[in-house]
Amino acid sequence: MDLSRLIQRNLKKTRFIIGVVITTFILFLALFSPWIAPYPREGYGYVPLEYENRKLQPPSLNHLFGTDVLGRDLFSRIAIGASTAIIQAFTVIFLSLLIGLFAGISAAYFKGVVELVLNYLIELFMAIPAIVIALFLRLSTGPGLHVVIISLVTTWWAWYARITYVYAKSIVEMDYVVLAKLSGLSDLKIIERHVLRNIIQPITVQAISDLGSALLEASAINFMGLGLPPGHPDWGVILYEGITSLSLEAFIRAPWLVVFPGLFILITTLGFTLIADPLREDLDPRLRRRWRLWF
Amino acid sequence: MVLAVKTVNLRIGYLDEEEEKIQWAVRGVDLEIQEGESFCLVGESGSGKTTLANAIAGILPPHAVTQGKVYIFDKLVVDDSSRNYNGVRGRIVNYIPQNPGTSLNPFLTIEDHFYYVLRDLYKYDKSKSKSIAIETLSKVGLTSEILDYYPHELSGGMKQRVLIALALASNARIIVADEPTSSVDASLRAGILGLLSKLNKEYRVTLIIVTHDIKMTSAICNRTAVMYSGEIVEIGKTSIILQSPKHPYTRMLMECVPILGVEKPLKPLPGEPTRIFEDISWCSFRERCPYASVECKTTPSMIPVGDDESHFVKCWRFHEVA
Repeated sequence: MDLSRLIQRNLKKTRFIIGVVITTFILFLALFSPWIAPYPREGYGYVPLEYENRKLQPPSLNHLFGTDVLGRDLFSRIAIGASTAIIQAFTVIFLSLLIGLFAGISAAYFKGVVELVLNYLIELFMAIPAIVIALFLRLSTGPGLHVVIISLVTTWWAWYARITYVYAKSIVEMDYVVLAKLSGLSDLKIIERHVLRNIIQPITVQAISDLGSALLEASAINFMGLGLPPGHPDWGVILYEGITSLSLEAFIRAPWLVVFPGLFILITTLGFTLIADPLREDLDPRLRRRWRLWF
Repeated sequence: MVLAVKTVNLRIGYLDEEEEKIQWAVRGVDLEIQEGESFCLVGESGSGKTTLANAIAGILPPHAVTQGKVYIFDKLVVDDSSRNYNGVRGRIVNYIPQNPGTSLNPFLTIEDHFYYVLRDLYKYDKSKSKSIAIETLSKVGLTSEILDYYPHELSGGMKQRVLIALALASNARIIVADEPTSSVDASLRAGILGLLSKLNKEYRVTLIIVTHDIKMTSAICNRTAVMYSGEIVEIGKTSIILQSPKHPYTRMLMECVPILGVEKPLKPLPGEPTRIFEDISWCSFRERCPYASVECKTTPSMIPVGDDESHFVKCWRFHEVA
C-alpha cells in the first residue's frame, strides 16, 4: 500500500488532522515568513536604530509578541525562525535516516565482520551525547548551523541504524530472502526489493515522529549558545537571548520573551508527533486491510 | 525418453565453521530421472535428501562443496567444484519452498511476485506477466481476483498454490518440491498432492518431491528413492517399494507410520543418521540395522532385486528382509 492511501485513511482521525494543520501552518510560516513578518530585517537580527525606545515592549497590535531587549519585533523573529527550525529538524532526520538505513541494512545483510564492526560503531555513537560533540565543534570551528547538524546527526544515525538492523535482521532470515540469495539474485536487488521494502515504512514513520525531538534537541543546543550565533533567527537562540540578557526581575516583567519561542517549539513538536502517531498504528502490514477469512 | 536429471557420482558436503572438516551430506549418488516422471526422495532428517534436491534446483549455499556431475536436460550444471546454473535455474528447473508462510514477501502483491520473477528471467513487462500469472493461477485452481492481494490475506493452502503457480509461471520443465505438504493442514494435503499430480500428468512437468512421509509418496510418485546418510539405499517403483521394501531402513520407515484403522505397534527409529566426515568402507546403516552381520563391514553396491530392472537395493542381506 502506498503512502497516499495511508494518509487518506488517517485523515479520518482528528489528531492526525490537527497535526497536519499545525505542520502546514509552520511550513507556511517557514516559506513565506519574509512576507508575513512585519519587520523582516529585524527578524534576521538587525537591531533598529531607535532600539532604546522600542525595547521590551509588551505584546500590542504593533508588535504582536512584543519586542526583545534590543527592541526587535519578536513576532518577526519567531516567524523568520520557523524556516531555521524546519531546516534543522529535516536535515538532521534525513541525514541520520540515510546513514542509519545504510549501516543497519549492511550490518544485517552482510553479517560477519561488517556486522560486528557496525554494531560496535552503533553502540559507540549511541553512548556519546550530542551536547559534547556540539561543544567540541563550537570550540574548534566556531558557531554555525553545521554545529547543530553534525552533532545531532553523529548521535542520531545510530538509533536508526539499530532499529533498521533489528528489523532487517529478521527479514534476511526469511525464506524469500534466503532463496533469492541462493538463486543468484544480486545483493542490491534483494536489498531493494525485499529488505528495504519491508522496513522503509516503519522507519519512515519513526523518522516523522522524531522530527519533533530533533527540533527540541536542536533548540536545546542553540539555547545553550553552542549552535547558531546570537542574533540568528532561531527559536532556541531567541530563548537563549531572552534569558541571558535579562535579570530575574526584568524576566518576570517581560515573560513574552520566553513564552512565545517556547510555545512555537512546543506546537511544532506536537504537530510532528500528532502526524506520526496515527501512522505508527498502521505500521503493521497485517493490519492494513481488513482480514479476509478463508479458513 | 529424455533424461531430465542425471547425476554422476555426486557428492555434496558442507564446510564446517573452521573450514577444516567437510560433512558429507550426499555421497556418491547416481540418479537418472526421466522427463515427465514424478520422483520421490524419502528419508529422515539428516539423510541428505534436501541437499540433493537443492543441488538439482540450483540453490546450494556457497559453503557447499560439490564433486561429481549433475546434468539437467543434457546441460552440465555441476562439474566437480564449478557450479553454473545460468539458463537452467528458474527457466528449466524451479523450486517450491517448504514453508509458504515465509516464502512470500508480505509487502508485495501476488501480481508483483509474478512480475519480478518473470522480469528477472525473461524481461517481461507488467501486462505480459499479468496475463501469464492469470493463466498459471488458473492451472492451480485460483482466480485472477487474488492478483492484488497481499500474501497475508491468503490462507496457507492458497499460499502454497501461489508458490506452485510461481514455479510454473516460468515454464519450468522440472519442479523440485521440498516437503510441499509439511506445513499445510492435513485436509489441504490431499488437495496440494492432487494438484501436483495433475500438473505432472496434464502438463508433463517432471516432479521431484522431497519428503519424510513415505506413505505420501504412494499418492503421486511413480518412482521412489530412499536415502540414508547421503546414499540412495533403495530405489524403484513406488508401488513395489511400498509393498515389499527390501532395505531394512525402508522397512523401518514404513513401520513407524501409523495406518488409519489398523492397530499396530509403532516402532520409532532408534538413533539417527551417522554424520560422515570422511570416506567409510562399511555400510552406513550397520549400527542401526537389526540384520547387520560381518558382511556389512564392506560397503554394499547397488544390487538389482529379482528380475525387476528398476528396483535396486544397497544391502548385502536384503534377501532376509521379508
